Amino acid sequence: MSFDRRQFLFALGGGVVAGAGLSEIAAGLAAPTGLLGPVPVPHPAWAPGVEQRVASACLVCPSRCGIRGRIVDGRLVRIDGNPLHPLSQGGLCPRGAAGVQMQYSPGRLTAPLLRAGPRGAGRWRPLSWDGAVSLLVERLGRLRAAGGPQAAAVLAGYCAGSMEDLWRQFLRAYGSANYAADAYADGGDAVMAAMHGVARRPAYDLDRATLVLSFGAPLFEAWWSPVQAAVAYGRTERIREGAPRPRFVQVDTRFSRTAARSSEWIGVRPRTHAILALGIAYVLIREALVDADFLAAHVSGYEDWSDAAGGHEGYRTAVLRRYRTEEVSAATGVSVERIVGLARAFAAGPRSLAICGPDVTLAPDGLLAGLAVHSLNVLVGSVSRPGGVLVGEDPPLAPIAAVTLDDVARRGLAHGPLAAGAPFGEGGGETGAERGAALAEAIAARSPGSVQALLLYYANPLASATRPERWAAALARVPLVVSFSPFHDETTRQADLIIPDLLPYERWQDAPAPASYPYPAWAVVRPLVAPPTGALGTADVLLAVANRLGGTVAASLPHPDMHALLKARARGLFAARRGMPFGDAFATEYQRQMEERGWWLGGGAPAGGGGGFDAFWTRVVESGGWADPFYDYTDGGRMRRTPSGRIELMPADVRRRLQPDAGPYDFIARAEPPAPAGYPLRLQPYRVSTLASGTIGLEPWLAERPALFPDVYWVPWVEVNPATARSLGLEDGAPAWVTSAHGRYRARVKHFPGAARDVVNAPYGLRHPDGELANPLQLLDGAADPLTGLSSWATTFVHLERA
Amino acid sequence: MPGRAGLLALLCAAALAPVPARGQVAGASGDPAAGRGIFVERGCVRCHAIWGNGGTLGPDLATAGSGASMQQLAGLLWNHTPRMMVAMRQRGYAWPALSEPELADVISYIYYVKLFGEPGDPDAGRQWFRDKRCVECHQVGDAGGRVGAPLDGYARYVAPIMLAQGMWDHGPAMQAAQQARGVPIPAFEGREMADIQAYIRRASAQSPRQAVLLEPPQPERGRRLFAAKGCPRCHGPEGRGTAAGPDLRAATLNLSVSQIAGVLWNHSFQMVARMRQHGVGFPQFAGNDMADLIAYLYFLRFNDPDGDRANGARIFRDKGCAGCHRPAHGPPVGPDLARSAAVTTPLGLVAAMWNHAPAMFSAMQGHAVAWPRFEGNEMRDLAFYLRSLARPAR
Repeated sequence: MSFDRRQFLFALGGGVVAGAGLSEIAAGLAAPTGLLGPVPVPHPAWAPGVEQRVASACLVCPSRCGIRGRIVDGRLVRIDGNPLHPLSQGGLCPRGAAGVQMQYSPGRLTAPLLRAGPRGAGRWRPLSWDGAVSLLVERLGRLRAAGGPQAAAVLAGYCAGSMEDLWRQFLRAYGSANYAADAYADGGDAVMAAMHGVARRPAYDLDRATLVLSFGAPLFEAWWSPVQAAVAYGRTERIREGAPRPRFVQVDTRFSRTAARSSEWIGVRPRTHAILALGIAYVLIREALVDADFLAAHVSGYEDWSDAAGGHEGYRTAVLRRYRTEEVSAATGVSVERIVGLARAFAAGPRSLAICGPDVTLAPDGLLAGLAVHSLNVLVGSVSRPGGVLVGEDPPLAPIAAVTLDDVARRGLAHGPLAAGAPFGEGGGETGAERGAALAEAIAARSPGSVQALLLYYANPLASATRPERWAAALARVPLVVSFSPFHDETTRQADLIIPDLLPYERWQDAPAPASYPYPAWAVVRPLVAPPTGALGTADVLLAVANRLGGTVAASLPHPDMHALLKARARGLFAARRGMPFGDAFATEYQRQMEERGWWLGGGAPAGGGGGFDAFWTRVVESGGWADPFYDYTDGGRMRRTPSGRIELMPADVRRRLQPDAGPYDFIARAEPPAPAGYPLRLQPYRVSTLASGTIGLEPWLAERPALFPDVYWVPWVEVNPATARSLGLEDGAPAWVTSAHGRYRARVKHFPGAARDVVNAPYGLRHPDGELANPLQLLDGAADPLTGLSSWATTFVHLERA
Repeated sequence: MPGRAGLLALLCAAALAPVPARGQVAGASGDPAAGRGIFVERGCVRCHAIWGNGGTLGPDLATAGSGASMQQLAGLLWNHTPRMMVAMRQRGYAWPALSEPELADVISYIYYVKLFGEPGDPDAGRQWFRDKRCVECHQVGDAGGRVGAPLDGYARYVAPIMLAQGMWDHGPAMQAAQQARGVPIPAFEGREMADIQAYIRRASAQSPRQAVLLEPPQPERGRRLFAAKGCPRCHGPEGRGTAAGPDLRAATLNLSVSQIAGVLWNHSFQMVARMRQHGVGFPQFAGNDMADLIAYLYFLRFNDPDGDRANGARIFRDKGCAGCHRPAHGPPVGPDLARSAAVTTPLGLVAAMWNHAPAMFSAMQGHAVAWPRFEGNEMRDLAFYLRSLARPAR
């Protein structure tokens, strides 16, 4: 009998022993006899595996933590956190670690596929990589030649860093303004836009904050970076030095995971977070606990004012008139004593921070509620200060290249985007979070041919959209649907051509830190393992298509591949004379301290000289990336970019869009509509960091891992108060239909005392083991915030019945 | 604080004096950047911090030994060796062996890092800006006079050195204007210059902006500048003073870049007058010039190659060194230091002592000999004495 090394390991019951003391195992098996019969004998060629640890970055969620792959004999066997990454500092969530399973998923597509039957029939024929690129070039070239480049559109889901820049530059040079994002948003950027004139999500100096008051922000669950929050909350070195642990207070309608991990949980009635925030503001104003100097120097709209249109009520009057503590207590269910205590603690700080999350902002009045929460930061001057709300910045990368437009592109771009955006935030931008839905509606509503080619990049709207039927109708009107998904999914099955991307552990990419992190940090994603022979990443496909389209399109994207593109962009970092390749904790802090004093250490160059750009690039790649740990707190203008040059507590642009008799802070006066007949329970969708991607089938580890409850795994669940569930005859674990006026799905009932009696808490992103979706978003009532365009997650009512 | 007349002569020169060779520059005897790497790699950071960044078992080396020269720092390191050794043994840490160049690098890093003062306080800066009447002539943000140039542009620099350099370059005109208006010429002490810079950054109309960071000052470049500006003519080739100008080494004692810049500014008025008397043009600085010059001045104190031989001999005897290394009777316990190559350079002795500290500690414990401590310039004088004995074995 002859065994090669792999067969031997398999016979032992798993590859997990690869590289770990093989010789010892072999020595123990030297005797070729045993109770179970002959056993293999060691082979002279057997040797310990060749092990490498390579830094990269995680792309499975927007946190983009640093990772370090353990590679044995060219196989990725383990993913750990990269301790040099300044944000994640070696931390990694289970989802990041489970990337190994995605890498070796049997469902992974390794070659392009061309539809060979009716759409959705699942019949494909393989295509060579060159054939796929040629087909795309031919179809896109034909559109351009016909003068209709605007009929190409991109729907991008999770799209990080230069990949988004690349798509946008490609489309722009090609001649289309139809780039739409189909990604999660929480409306934080809209708050910044309205009050600060800053088109960016807020950054939070969690490391220095001493009191974090979170209004529905899932800091430890599915926030922009749960690792950032966890690192700040549990800073062992700070605690070791005797500093008190920062106080995290979670205001939530449910006893969430974040609430459980925080110092305190304050349960509130649904849709009353903003009322509580303004109740706290009332106490701050009444007790003169506001930062009067800050308000006088940098803020407008605090006091009443007059202009040509007449007198206007300022924030102070609005709050004092409507948010008396007793009334706020009655509305929210929070005691007067607790409200007053919170306000005093928030003022005492010394570094307090209020953060709002999707439970606040994904509502018909979400932007206004977000403004109410954020106004607390303004009142105590916790803006552009250590421990406060900051405005981060992008890494100073060089541009991909100068974009040059020919006449075809100019005429195409003149058509503008098919779908109009909302006034504020990502919903309003070209990359709007809700632009995906708007694009679907536009395709369905416009004349046929408005979109001739739809390119789907990590977008699966038939599964993720609140109204998948609209996408189904839209897809039916598009002659060419191309998916770059490396796995079959609901939308990819409706495509005409699949050009599967390489997996995140096989390709070059970049991964800037999320906007919640105040410092620019740029992680490099590099191949940890070899891709399938001849396979191309989507970036490389796009660059090849641009090159073959020629002319100004090729000139605008002159890089041969993504590696070359990233290296060219890194020249901007090298030239910026700031920051450093990732370093250890001491080096990073030292860099920060020197930059705070005004000195730059030379990019972490080794002693004796920097060695030029190539040496710098090598250090960036080997360490995992580049970061600049310095924040300029004296540069207050970062936070005052409104036309008035001040932080607007009563944002002019918002007030213009409200009804004439309405103010931004009128929540307490608005009556909440009662539950509709037959649907007595409010649906509260929420995200679970490890499960929210919809890729659960690719990573069985995650499905098998109890997510929130030790006895719930593998199946989608909803959390119901035990009294409510019992009144419906639903025992713990009972299968149930969750039904709204717009749809239903199956889930298991989990009795949970942390759920309000009239609320069903529904995790988002789950599937049943057979692949059946359990998406609470498809039950939503269709309400949206007109100011942000974001769907309301808080106004849908459902009923439960046994399935 | 140096005498006024001494600093008057700093830039009072008309001809180039001999330029010290690179090897003579104190800063060249160690590389602070390399020293930082060694500080981390050899585990110093596990017990010691820089500005609070690092371990807390030992003292913070950004502040401990402030104002000490290389030899004095070496003495401090030596003095805490027994405590360090015990603590390291308890934690299972190996004693970090350091070659002579490595030790030079580490000590130069510990010395160099003290040059960088704390960031300024903008609230205090606002007060200084008003009290020193800067506000009467200079506008920052929407407040201030218009006699002088607005200072908003300096906000892009984080370090106050560019403000100091700007003041220096405009010094003669500024001071003439101040005299004409009857405004006293301001003097700066302590962190005042840094505070004012922090205030300018906070109040500036140039916001938002991209901060400009400077390369850390380089003593070697400062040395060349010192020569090129003719400073050696009055202060001597190594700034140790001549009949025309004082020894500059004391001018930088315990001071950071911005503080030294303040000292220079405070004396610039008299310098201008003196230079005018001698028909010498007032020097101008560009780029990092002033920072580099300050670093050079700062490093003048780093290595003091001289010493008191008689005091060194006394120390050798009284501290018990002679009992082991040159006993009057019987065989020596330790090597004969008169025949050791290690004593031929100041740091050679320190490195040898450092690397043999564990063995010496054990031997001294065995002989019930107290661990010798070296205060003030004792290490310098001891090294000087031993160098005078040196007859390295062939």
